Amino acid sequence: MHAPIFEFNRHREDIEREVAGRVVDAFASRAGADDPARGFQYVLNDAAFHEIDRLERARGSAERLADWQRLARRIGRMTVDELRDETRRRAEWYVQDVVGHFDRRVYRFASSVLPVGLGALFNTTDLARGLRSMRDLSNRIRVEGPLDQLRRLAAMGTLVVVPTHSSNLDSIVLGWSLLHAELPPCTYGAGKNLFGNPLVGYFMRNLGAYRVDRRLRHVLYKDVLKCYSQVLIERGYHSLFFPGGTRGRSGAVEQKLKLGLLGSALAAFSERLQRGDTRPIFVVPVTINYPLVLEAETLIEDHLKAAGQARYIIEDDEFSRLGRIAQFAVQVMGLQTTMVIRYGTPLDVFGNPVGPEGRSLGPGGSPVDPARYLMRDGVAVDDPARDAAYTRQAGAAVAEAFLSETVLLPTQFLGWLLFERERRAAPHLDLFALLRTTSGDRHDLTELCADADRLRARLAEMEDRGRLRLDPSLRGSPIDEVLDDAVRAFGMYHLRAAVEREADALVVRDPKLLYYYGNRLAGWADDLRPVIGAGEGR
Amino acid sequence: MSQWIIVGDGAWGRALSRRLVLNGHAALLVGERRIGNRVPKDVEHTIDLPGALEAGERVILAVPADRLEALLVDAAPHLRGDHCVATAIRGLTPGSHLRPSEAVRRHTPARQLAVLAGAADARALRKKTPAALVVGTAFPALADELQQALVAPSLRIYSNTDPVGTELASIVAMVLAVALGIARALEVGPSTEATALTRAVAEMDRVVVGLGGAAKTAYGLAGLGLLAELALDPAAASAAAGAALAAGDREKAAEVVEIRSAARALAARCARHRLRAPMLSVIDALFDGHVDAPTAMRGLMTRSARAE
Repeated sequence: MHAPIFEFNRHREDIEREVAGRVVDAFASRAGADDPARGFQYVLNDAAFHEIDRLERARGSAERLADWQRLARRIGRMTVDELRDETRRRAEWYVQDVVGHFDRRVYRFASSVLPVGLGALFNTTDLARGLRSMRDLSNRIRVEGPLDQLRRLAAMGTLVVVPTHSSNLDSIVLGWSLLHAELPPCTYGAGKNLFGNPLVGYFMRNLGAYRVDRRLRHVLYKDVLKCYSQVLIERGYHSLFFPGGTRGRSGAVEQKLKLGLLGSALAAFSERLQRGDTRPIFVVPVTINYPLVLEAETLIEDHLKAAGQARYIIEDDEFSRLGRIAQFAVQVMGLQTTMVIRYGTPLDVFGNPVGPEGRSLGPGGSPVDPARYLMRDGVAVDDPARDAAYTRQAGAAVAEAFLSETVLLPTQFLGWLLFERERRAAPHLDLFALLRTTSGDRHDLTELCADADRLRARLAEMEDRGRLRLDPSLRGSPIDEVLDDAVRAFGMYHLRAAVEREADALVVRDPKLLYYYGNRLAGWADDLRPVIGAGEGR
Repeated sequence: MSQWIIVGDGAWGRALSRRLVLNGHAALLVGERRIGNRVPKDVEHTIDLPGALEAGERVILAVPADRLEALLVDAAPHLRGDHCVATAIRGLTPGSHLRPSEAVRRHTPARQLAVLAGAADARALRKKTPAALVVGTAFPALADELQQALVAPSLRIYSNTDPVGTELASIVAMVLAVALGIARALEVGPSTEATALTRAVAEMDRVVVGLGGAAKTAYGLAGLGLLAELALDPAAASAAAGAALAAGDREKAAEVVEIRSAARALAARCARHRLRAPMLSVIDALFDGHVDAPTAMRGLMTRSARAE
């Protein structure tokens, strides 16, 4: 298989130059001809303010802090040329901080070792069995969707893969799925903190991942990042980014998406057109569906904290403890339920679905020429406000696909069912009171199975209308087996089982975990609530 | 000068096309059949929808809401990405309960959409009495084009970036105006009419925000502006519907098809989203004959006390 990223190193310096140059030119043009210094002054002041604020609180950054402080004092006295040079110098520094690297040898090594390594990790602690584990891994991680079509599209254009995000394992598992589905490797932006993990960091550094420092909030850095991702797409590098921005804390399917990098895909499409490059760009929504989530306990705690945003970058969760990762993997392999990576219908950069041959399709299935969206009176017109509105529409299409391509699993099903019964039983309690008081509540299995049957029937109707997907283990098995499977899963990995079976009842043990897993169904709650009977469990 | 395609040759479509021509634009009015001498001066008329959509990319839809989806199915193969579509329609589609711009988005590939609403009707445009409209769109260039194309000494065109709220406010105002029509017909006096108006505004805000609009849109031209216009106009369709319902004449009230259909669709949408909309529910129930006007008013007045 050939992929543009294999040639990345040969073009890296050229890419760096192009990104820095474009960022500087954009600031110059924003200021206007009458006051060319203003754009540069604004961007340097903004960067200096944020960097000084950050570095004053960071340890071991005295030299960089002094450098920014010196610049902040000089900005008002600098000539236009000096301002331009300084902006270029800083932009180049950030580009080099962001830019990835691709080592073909590491890729070959990873291609052969990743399935075995993941297989060993997900199968057993016995490495000898890991050699046989590729097949086992395929049994435990199901990759599905229009894969033949995606392989064809990858050959004719550029893929921008946009997955849901609930675990730091996502990029590893997704990398495996691309390999397994014979899709080309993608470049992607990963939190700079993840590069600190010696093993994962090594592979990320050498497989084209670029660094995203979420602590940097100033315009210069954001523009560098956005421009870098745009230039990569323009040059045909298949790309991946998580539009949720960070791991979803609540367990729900992400609906509020960050659109900046999705906007890069549209900007790249526009730029290509202006250069006469007609290769299409395809946005591919992907849902990653775990029966158990490695970091569930930490994520839901964070979600429930009023100041959850304060811990935007969590550095001390389960992902930072190799023992927990191994334990998680071993337990997941023991489950009857598979993890599902589902590739959705590809979209164009405007959110229209793309047909088997790569053509954008309108609502009636008739072909649509995406280039027309950028035209006015027959001529391509540059209009950033229009493109921002288009990007919001494309984001809505991705969010919709996240829902319709979500594959619901027994743990999420039972989590929602039990928590909703608790909610019904005590409608006067708010969420936090429910979480405090429901541990130990018993749910009679006969009543529970009746509710579960009704809930599953409603979900099956919704699946038939294309609104979501049910894992075969949830749709096809007898309902008591579905519940047993979920109870067993909940008891396998987490420090405390979310729910346990006692005689003819299920007993709630960890309401927070139930709430977390059940939240996966929150996007359809209005349709599902009516089928749950009055709370017999309290 | 730009070429505009106005789909719908009723009074509203004809008034808009004439306004465009007066501003120096070319207006092609599209209808289902020939309308003879009712075509405004200097406006071209056609029954060839595909041909019209090929001729220009600036489109205004001014058809009744209950005919919109069928029209869009016909129009969809001829609409392209460079078509800009403004909807000047009050109402929700029957059955699917879609806002007009939502229906355009669902049935066609057009993405540059705008909503035209406000306190000006065909009569105001024709007689050039001072009035105002608002363009709600996420596309600033389209807002600018519509403003320039329609503005006149007697017609101010405002803009906002909340097409969803603009469209919803306009539809909710049209239905709630029926309540004001009922109050007027029952001759309950200014205190009751003022109470109905105030609570209608509060309900409109709640529904607009609950269904995805922005907080202040209900208080703009599309919401409060239209509600005031309809309340003050004894010849408005909502006043006629209100008078018929006050008299218990459901058949006559149902002749105002758009209002009846919008009331049903809005009540259903509010129920689905668990929105508190007592006046809309009562109007829907009055159209259905589940309650008479005096009982409905007593029901509204005797609800449990709550903060304003």
